[in-house]
Amino acid sequence: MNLLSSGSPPIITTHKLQYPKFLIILLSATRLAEAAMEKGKAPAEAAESAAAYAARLAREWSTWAMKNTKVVAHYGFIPLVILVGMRSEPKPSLAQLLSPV
Amino acid sequence: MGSAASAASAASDAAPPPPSPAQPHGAAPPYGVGLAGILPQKPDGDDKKEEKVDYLNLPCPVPYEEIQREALMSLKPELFEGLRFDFTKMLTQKFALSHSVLMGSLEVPSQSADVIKVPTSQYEFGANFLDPKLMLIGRLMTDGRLNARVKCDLTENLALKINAQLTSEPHYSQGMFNFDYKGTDYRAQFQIGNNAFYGANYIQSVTPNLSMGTEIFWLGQQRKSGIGFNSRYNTDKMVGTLQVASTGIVALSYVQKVSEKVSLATDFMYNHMSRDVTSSVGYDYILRQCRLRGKVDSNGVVAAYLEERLNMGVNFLLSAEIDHPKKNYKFGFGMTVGE
Repeated sequence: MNLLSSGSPPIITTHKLQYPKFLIILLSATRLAEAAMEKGKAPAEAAESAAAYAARLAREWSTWAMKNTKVVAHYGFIPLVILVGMRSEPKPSLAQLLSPV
Repeated sequence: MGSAASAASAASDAAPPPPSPAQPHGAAPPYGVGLAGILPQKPDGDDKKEEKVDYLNLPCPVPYEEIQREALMSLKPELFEGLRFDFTKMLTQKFALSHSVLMGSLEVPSQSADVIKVPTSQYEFGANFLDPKLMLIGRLMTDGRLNARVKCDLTENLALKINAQLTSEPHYSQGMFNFDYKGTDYRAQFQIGNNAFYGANYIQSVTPNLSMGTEIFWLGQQRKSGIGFNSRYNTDKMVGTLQVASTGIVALSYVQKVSEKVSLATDFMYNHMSRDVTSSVGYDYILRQCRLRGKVDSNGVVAAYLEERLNMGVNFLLSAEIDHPKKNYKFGFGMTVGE
């Protein structure tokens, strides 16, 4: 991140975002688009084309997935690290985890 | 080396190897005991100079974002203002919890030339799990901000790194996924970030001392793209780097290791868009009980950072940053307990 960190930090940090994590979007969007295509073909509603319907579904579901992934990561990351750590060898005890010494 | 080994075995078959002569430099002979009595012994210095560079066997270069790491370590210590106290408790070799308290000031940007500081205090709880294959670092602050770093070795050469800052306020979180591939003498990286940021970089060892790399990135939300080149030349005694980017940045750095304990570093950055030039010179003394870093800047900023080891696991920190033109003085002291 050498170019961005020295040259233009405001671009990344202050701009409001809509999609926090794109990796999961790519995977789920393709799957949802395929499912939506099959759904869209059967009923003959011509209000929107099958492709537009699929795209809208993919967008809505991926936004939902992103928002919930972010919440899960926010609340669950530290407990995950503690869980992984408590299971590693040699297993520390709960008293060692909670005591301040 | 293959031919030398087979020649050595042939020579030892031909005649019983004479007792190896007293080695003049105390170093092992390069061709094995059998040939040492037959070939004239070259002194070590000539061996190093005449060693032919094997261009198919170059070392792996430093990762692209770390080419300036020596200069950054010497010139940009973590300066802070106020009181800082860090406590790290190791539960096992790999798992540690950390508590960190900082009572200092936050600078508020103001219209006038004066600097306005607001006192602030924060407590940060952290959990680290460090394994050779998996690294998980999480830091949680009292205002709900989570700083998460994950590094996972998917295969021997492919690593996944995730870096995220999650906040309670909506739309302010950031995340970045990096896929790193390490080849024999090159490294390639692909990045995906929030705000539809995509980036890729590639760095290759050209000679044993020189490595060159290139980077491109694309920012989806602002439809901006950029390309950059960098190169790094290092020997045992010095490291020099150069970076040029299409965002209009030219950055050079040079670090000279004067002795085991002392190194000097200098850094130059030019921003074409804002016509901003900054240069700094600094020193880094790594002594037995302490590490002292200091630097002087072309903006009139003088900074110093001292870490002194009082006892096993107890470090005392002093930090100072004096900005003479803006009359902004920052002094900090603190302690770090635990590894």
